[in-house]
Order: sequence, then C-alpha cells, then structure tokens
Amino acid sequence: MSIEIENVSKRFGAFAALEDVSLSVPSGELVALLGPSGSGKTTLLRIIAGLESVDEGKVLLNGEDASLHDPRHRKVGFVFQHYALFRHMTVFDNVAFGLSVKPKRTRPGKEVIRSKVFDLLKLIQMEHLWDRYPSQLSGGQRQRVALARALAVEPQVLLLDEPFGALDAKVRQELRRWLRQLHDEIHVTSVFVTHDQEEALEVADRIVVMNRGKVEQEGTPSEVYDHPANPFVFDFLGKVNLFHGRIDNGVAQLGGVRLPASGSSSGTDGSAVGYVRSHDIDISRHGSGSDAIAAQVRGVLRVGPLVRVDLLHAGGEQLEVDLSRDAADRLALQVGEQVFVRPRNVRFFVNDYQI
Amino acid sequence: MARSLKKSHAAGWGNLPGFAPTMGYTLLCLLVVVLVPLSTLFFKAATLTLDEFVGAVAAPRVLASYRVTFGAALLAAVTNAFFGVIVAWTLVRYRFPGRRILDALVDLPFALPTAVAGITLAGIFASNGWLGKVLEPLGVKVAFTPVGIWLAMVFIGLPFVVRTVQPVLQEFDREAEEAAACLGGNRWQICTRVVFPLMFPAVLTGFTLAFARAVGEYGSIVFIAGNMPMVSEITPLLIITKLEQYDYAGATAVAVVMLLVSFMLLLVLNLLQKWSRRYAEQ
Repeated sequence: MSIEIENVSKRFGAFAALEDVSLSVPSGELVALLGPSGSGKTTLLRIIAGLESVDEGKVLLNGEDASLHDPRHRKVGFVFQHYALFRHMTVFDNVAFGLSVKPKRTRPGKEVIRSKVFDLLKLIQMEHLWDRYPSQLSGGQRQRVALARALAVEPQVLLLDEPFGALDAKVRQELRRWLRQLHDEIHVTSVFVTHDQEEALEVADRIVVMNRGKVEQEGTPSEVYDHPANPFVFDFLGKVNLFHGRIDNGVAQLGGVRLPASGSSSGTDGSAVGYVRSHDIDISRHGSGSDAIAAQVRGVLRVGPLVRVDLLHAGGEQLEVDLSRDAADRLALQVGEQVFVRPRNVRFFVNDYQI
Repeated sequence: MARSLKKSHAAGWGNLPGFAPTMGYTLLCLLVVVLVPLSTLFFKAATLTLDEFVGAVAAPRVLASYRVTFGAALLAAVTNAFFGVIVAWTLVRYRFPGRRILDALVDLPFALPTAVAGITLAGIFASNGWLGKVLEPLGVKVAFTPVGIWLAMVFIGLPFVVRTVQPVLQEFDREAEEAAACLGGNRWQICTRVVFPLMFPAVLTGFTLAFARAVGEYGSIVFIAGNMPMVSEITPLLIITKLEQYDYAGATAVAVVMLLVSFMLLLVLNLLQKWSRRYAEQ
C-alpha cells in the first residue's frame, strides 16, 4: 500500500510540529524518517497511523483519504519505541490480540489463530517463550514481540517509531539487520523513525531527512549522503569539517588556499562555507601545490577501526579527520607536529543559509 | 568489605545496609501498636469456657449482627469499587474547570469526624430530611434501616478506591491503548481487555481497604442505622453494648471472632491481589 502525504501541517499549541510536509512512499519500500529530536518525524508517523489528527493537508493510503478512518481501520501496524506490550498478557496473547479482537464475522478460529501466532513466533525465533510475560523478556525480545504483534493482523503499512532506540548497541545492530531481511521477505510498505543516521543509511531504501517540521531532503541513502542538498543534511549525516572563506569568480579562498569552487550550491560570489567529511581529508608532511593547508596536530585518538586526528589549521579552525589504522600507522603522527591537510570533495554553500 | 559482602550474601539478605535497625523498628512498631493490644483480646476471651464463648459469639442476635456488618461492608466496597473507578477516571482523564476542587472533595470523608458524617446523613435521609422527603413516598427508606448502614459505609470508604486507582491511571501507559487501537480493538475491547485488567490490582487494593474500613466503622453508622437488634445492629455496636453492661469477656469474644473473620477475608483478598499481579516483575 502506498502512502501519500499532501501539505500536512500540525501544531501543538504554539509549537509547529509539521509545516506543509509532502511526501510519498511507494508501495513495498522501507523508508526512514531521519532527523534530530523535535523535527516532527514521530508526529508524522503518528499522523500516518491516525493516532494524531492533521490541522491541514491530507494523508492518502492507497490513494484513499485516510482521515475517513480511525486507527483501527487503517490497516497499519505500529511499533512503539518502548514496545507498549500488554504486560498482563503472555507473549502468545500479545501476538494473538489483533486477531482475537476482530469482529466475529472475520475472526479466524482458535486453531487458526494458534498456528498463525506460532508461525510469527517462529519468525522472531521465540516459540519457546510463548508463555512468558513481557516483564520476563529482554529489551530486544520485547521489541521482536511487538513487531510480531503488529504483523499478526497483516498490516498493509508497518510504522516503527524509533524501534531500536531503547536497546543497547549490539542488539540494535542485530535487530536492524534482521528488520532489513524481514522486509526483503515480506515487502510490506514500512516507515521507521530514527535519529541515528547510521541506522537509516544501513536499513532504509529511501531516507527522508527532517528538521524543524520540514523535509530537508529525500532520496536513497547514497544520494543523501553523497549529495546533501543543504548544510543541515551535510551536517546531520556523518561528521563534517567547515572551512570558512570567500568565493570570487568561481574560486574559493579557504584558510590561505585556493580551490576551484565547482561544488558550490549557487553560482554567486560572497562569503562561503566549505563542507568536507572527516574521511575526505588527506594528511601529509609535505605541502606541495596550492591546495594544501598547513595545520597542527592537536590530538590522535584510536576509536575502534579508525584513528581520529584533531587538528588546528592555519585559518584558526578546528578539524577532525578520520584515518584508517593503516594510514595512521604509516604517518605515525605526533601531537604538536606541523602537517599539511588536503581536502577532497569540498562542497560549498554560500552564506545565506544558517545552520 | 569483601568479608561483609560475603557474609550478608550468605545470610541471603543482599547487601543493602540498614537492615537491622529498620527491621527492628518494624517489629517493635507492629508489636506495640498491633500485636500486643490484639493479643490481650485473645487473653481476655480465653477467660471464658468454651460453652460461654460459643454462647457469646453465636447467639442469634450476634449472628445477625455479623451478617449485617460483613454483608453491608461487602456491598459498600463493591459500590465503592464501581463508583470510585468512575470518579478516578473522570479526575485523571478529563480536564474541566473545578477539577482540583472536586479532587480535594474526595478526601473529605477521611477528614470529617465520622459522627458528623453520620448525623448529617441521618438528617438528610430521615423522613423529614432533604432527600428522605423525596425517597420515602417512593417506598425507599434509607435512614434507620440497613440501607443507611450501607450508605454510611460507602461514604467513608470512597476515598480509598479513588486514591488507589488514581495514581495507577495517571501512570497508565497510553501507548498500550494506542497499540490496541492500531491492532483493530474497538473502545469496548480496549477497556475490557487492556485498561481494566491493568487497573484491576489497584481496584482490588482499594476494594480491600474500603471493605476493611467499613467493617470497623462505628461512629457514623450508629446515627443512621436505627440499631434494631436482628435487623440493623452492627457488630461493633454490639461490642459497645456488651461493654456498657460490664460483660468484658463477652465483648472480647465477639471482637475475637470479628478479628478472625476480617483477617481471613483480608488474607484472601491479598492472595487474590497477588494473583492479579502475577505478570509483574518479581
């Protein structure tokens, strides 16, 4: 089932949670709503589910105006961040709930419900825990039960509100890989909310980046990561270094070096900011050419597979560079030493946009 | 340090400090306030022979008073459980002008001297009172009948249910209701299968407290009950009557029976309470 959101606005008192948001989710896709807290992503999800009403605009589910239906007729499965399991019911009863509250005419028989629930429990690898209460399960297990419960009614849309937000890092990674596989199997149109860019990049077919109640950019993970539409998206997806300078006649002056400003977002001249990802900066001891910027090493920190180097460049700005272990070992950088940095893939945004 | 940890582990009491003084205080408190006074009841009652004891506690008039007391208390607790939940629901789920005042009113039965409550209720429901005037022509007699006893018990017991259910409703996980709605549950199914079962332990606690309070109530009931032997005489009143006749042993014998019955009922209610919360974390 496809989802169309047309010019939706929503206010809570004086706070505008959503401002004129339009979005379309084609049938069968797994879409991530990514943004910082307060960006309106959860509100948007709750509006799709019918748990929140819109002030303006429309939500179409399969081309049909959804405002005609309350949540229980929308055929959406909703998975909450804190699971929202029925804690007085066993795992089995939780998963069976959606089937057992169906009107008598369409309610499957007891045996059918039983076999269906056990199929789902098998899917989440928890058949042996069918008679446990939620309080006896771990966080990851609870979230899987919540997912099975939502899937039991065969929803046409699956909505997940920060589904892995309350889990620890390891379980989170396992579960999101599992969610991706599950989606590849059952192909139900899914929207999940997250503030974790890594999660969005890893799991989603498409990412919708939101900020302050508006959609900043929409696209595939590589589109939004490699071609951020604006400084906010650049900054929000991954670590970024800023070079403040000017653009004159297509040439950027940054920290004493001149770079061709081919990556400028607009052709205009003026003060500009160059954005470079932390892994798009080379460090060397020899400064040759006009594109090398002198810098001083301020700190070297090994973080798992990467080595993070803090630098202060000649323009007086902080830089953070991620090197692979190999590259770092070859350089053997010492704190306090003078080096040259060479940014690759600089994107320029002329200063009319403040972040 | 290591040794003390090991030691307390061996004792099986974990290693939260302060166990000895707090447990000591708890025991002392229960001993002085509850156990010693109550045990003298048993000693006093034990001065009777078995025949005298049975004669004192199983006389027809006494048996009738048990029925009136426990029957009315149960009915009152059921009534309170029902209306208390509605009051708590209204106070928690809706926002309306005057809500705070209404909220404060709930506690009044706690604070009011019970005699005042009894006299007021009797005044209102007497055949020439405000409400009595209206009800009497309809054939409903409240004051000076067992109905009056029930009414007084409802009055003094209401805050217990409201005050135990209210916090549970306030803390209630609204997402569980939303989840149920997304799964296709209608309003009625959500209430009966999600909201009420989760509220039940609190309602049961409120019910138990209201019941215990009603069984022990004396002050307000004697003014409205009429106190007719065999009809509207409650056991606490009977005990007072016996005391006034200097039948101390007889009075304590009846008190002992009342105590035991109350204890048994409270025990059953507590077990039920435990069962109703079987899903909670240990």
